[in-house]
Amino acid sequence: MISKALMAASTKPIILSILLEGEDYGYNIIQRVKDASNGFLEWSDGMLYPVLQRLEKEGFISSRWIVSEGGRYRKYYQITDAGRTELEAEMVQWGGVFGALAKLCPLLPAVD
Amino acid sequence: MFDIEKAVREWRRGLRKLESFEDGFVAELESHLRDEFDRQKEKGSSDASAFAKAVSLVGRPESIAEEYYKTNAGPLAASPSWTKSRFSPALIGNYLKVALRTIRRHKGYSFINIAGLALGMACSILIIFYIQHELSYDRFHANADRIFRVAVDGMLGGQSINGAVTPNPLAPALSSRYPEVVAAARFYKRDAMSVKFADREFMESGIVYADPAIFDVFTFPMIRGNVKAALERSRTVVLTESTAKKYFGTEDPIGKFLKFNNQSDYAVTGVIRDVPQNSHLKLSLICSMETFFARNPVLRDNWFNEGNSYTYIRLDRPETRKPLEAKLADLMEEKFGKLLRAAKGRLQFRLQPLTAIHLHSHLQWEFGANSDILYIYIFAAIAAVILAIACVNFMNLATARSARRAREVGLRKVVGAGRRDLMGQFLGESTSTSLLALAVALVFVKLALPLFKSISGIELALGVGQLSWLIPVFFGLVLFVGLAAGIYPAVYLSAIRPVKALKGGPEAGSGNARFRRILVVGQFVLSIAMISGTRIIEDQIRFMKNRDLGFQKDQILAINTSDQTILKNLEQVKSRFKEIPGILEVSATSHVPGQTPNNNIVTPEGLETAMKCCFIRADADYVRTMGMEIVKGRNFSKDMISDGKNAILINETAVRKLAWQDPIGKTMKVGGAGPLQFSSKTVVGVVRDFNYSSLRNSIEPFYIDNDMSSLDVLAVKIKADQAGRIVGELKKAWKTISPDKLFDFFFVDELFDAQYRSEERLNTIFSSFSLMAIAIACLGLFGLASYMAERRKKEVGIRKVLGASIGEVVGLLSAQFLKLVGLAALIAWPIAYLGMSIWLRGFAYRTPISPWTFVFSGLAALAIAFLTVSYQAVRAASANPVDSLKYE
Repeated sequence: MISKALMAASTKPIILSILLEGEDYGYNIIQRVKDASNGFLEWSDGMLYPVLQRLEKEGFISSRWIVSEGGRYRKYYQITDAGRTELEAEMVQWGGVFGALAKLCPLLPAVD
Repeated sequence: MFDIEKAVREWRRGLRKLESFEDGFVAELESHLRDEFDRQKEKGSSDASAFAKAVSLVGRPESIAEEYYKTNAGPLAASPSWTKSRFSPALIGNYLKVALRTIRRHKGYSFINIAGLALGMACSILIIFYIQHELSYDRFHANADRIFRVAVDGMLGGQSINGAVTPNPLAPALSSRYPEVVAAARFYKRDAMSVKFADREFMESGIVYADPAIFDVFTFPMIRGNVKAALERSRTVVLTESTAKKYFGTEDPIGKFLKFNNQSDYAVTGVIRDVPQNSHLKLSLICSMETFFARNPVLRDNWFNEGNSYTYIRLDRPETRKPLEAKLADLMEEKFGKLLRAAKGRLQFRLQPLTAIHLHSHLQWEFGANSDILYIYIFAAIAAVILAIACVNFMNLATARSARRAREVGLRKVVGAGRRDLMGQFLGESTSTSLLALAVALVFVKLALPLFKSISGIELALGVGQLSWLIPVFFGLVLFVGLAAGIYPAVYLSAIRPVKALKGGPEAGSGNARFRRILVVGQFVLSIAMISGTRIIEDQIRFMKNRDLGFQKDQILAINTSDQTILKNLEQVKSRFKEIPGILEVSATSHVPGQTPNNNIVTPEGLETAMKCCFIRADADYVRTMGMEIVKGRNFSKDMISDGKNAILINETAVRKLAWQDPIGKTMKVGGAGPLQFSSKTVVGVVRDFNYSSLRNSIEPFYIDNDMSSLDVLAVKIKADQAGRIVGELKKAWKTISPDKLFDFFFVDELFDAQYRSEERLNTIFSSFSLMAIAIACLGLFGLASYMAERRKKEVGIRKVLGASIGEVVGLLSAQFLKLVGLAALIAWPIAYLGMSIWLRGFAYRTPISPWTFVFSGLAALAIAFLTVSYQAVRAASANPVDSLKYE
């Protein structure tokens, strides 16, 4: 588990990164996060949706409803230009933090 | 079967309660939930567990809603309304003010609320008192948990024996043989007799013989005299404080002599505190057991014969009871083994805890009439029912009037009150009302105590002594009533939507009319069931009193006498009595019906085993005096000297039991249980079956012995309507026959009917409480009706303008309530029928349940409900429509 503060800070770049690859819906986003982090990022699933809503309100993502083959309503999110700019800015910040940690902390696990 | 759609629907409903969830959010979360559900099912979970897992993965709706709330409300918002109660102490003052204002502004409703609750609480408090009193029986003894009474049970001669009395030598045997028996004491109950000191003479009933050890077993604090020596010697007597006062006033009674039955003098050797009311041993004069044995030396060491006493023991520890009972089996074997094997019977000693006697013991030859734990349950149920009816009133009126408070709720919500705050406010209000009601209830209780005493025979006092248990009880009662009565209105009122309430659209109170109707029906179901129950109890009592008992209990006067000279000159006494006009028959007997007959072991001819049989002794006039009927053979005859030695009459049940084709001339060995006093009796006649005791019991084998020794009752059959004069003349005659004996008489029908005292008491209590129940229910109905009438004022006005008559309007307004009462009757009838059938099963002879009972209870409830409602209806209907329609 990761700390609440780190979780709050990391959610936005992670979601934006996922949407960078194309539009996706909430349930799938969660599964991809879990998959990518090997279960390390354990989100309470429902908590994703208020975050998505906030990102949409801030203009970083947009959404549309699609009816799937099974007749299930799904809300698909895609990243906006503002979102891309925001992600880039975030990445600069995260890169800085990550670089500093790599230099200073010998215990940082290697990334494959 | 697990229904996924239903489960999702419910889950969705849970989300909707939280206002942050907009429809889109809910749809999105639901789609997520379904995806997760599908995945869990692919993994192999069952529907139910897949759903449960999916729900838990989605997370707590509250946390999600809170996130949405933060996102939407911006940084300035306080936390959402459901997360924490913003209870503000500053508001308490306002709550109180509003509560008082509501009470003051709506005096009528407040009166109904408080009076209804107070009545309900007063009933419950009285019943709690009563139950507490019953449960406290015999607990005042310091060693109450270690005191036991020895009882006997088993089978003998095909009949079960459950006796409260045991052989006289048992107590000394117990204390000498078993170290765990700390003390053992006997009581022997004496008949009522006259006691005299100087010119003060009274009939006394609580007279016993007792061992000195009663002071080691029980806690009877002695205030005068020496505990060790008080009951050592023959002809000593210990008095209770109030008995001593009755005879000696302020004089010191110690060393003075009391004259019993104008014959024997007893020296007063001690005075004890009055035995508390909650003691199953009712004592006023305790004579030494030694007196009894000095007079009947043969009974001192006799294990077999009559003259059994009550044996009480105190053990070292309560746990030694079971092991001791096992050891007593050996004692039984030693003393009775041979006899029991011969009679193919079995008997065992049982130890009854002292504190269980009053409510749980129903043996033969009990010391006095015990109560029954069943009555405790019945009364507890009545208390709960009445309290429930009172609480329902409160709920009903509060929800009915919710429209009036909808605006207040709306406004409070607009300025930030959450549901919890409002619920707290309303529950606080109902609890305060209930506190107020308690105060009123206590006044009611205080006023009702004398009435309560006359009904239950129990004297209660609201004293400091009871505060230790009363305060928690009252506190609990207030809290319980406050919460029970307030919870529905609180939930209902706090859910009012501010928009609707403030807009003043259709009134918010109208939606819960159905709930109110259900409550009214519930109240009347309980009331009608109680009325029906009362009627059935009355029917049964009337049935028992009027049933053909096989003898005529009316117009028989019985005179107690132990004067042997009267028996010696019986014929002269009889002819002296018969000189008095109006006296039809006179008979000497050992018992009249209603008095517990003797018991004996008999061995009838042709039967190997002994059987138990009740019997009385009587002269030849008994059958005629009692109006009994000889169905076979003949009555006793004065001219046959042999009759007085060995003739008996048996009842039809005995004939049936023995399967005798021709009972006349058959013989029975009587009293042959022990080595003493065998005698052979010959059946000379058969009497028609008669009920010797309460109709709770079926008729048992019975015989009447013509043995003329120890007859101590003179039964006198008199002409109807002349009782007063005849008693006066009998008294005069008595003075000449037995100048120094008290003329102590009673009427047989009164004695016989006194057996039904517990039923009558139940009836009184049931009827008074069912009256209360219906009164409280009507109080609520009255409130509802007046509210309805007010709400429909304009409608009534318009109807009248359009030509409706007063009668039509009254019918319209009353019909809705009467329908409810009718429905309640339909539900109440089967409940009452079932309940009362169970009660009636306790009687060997019972009245059929009449359908009229139910018709009556239903009509009575309808009539009372109509009277209640019609007052309001008539008022509304006769109002001038101009007034109600003026301001539109």
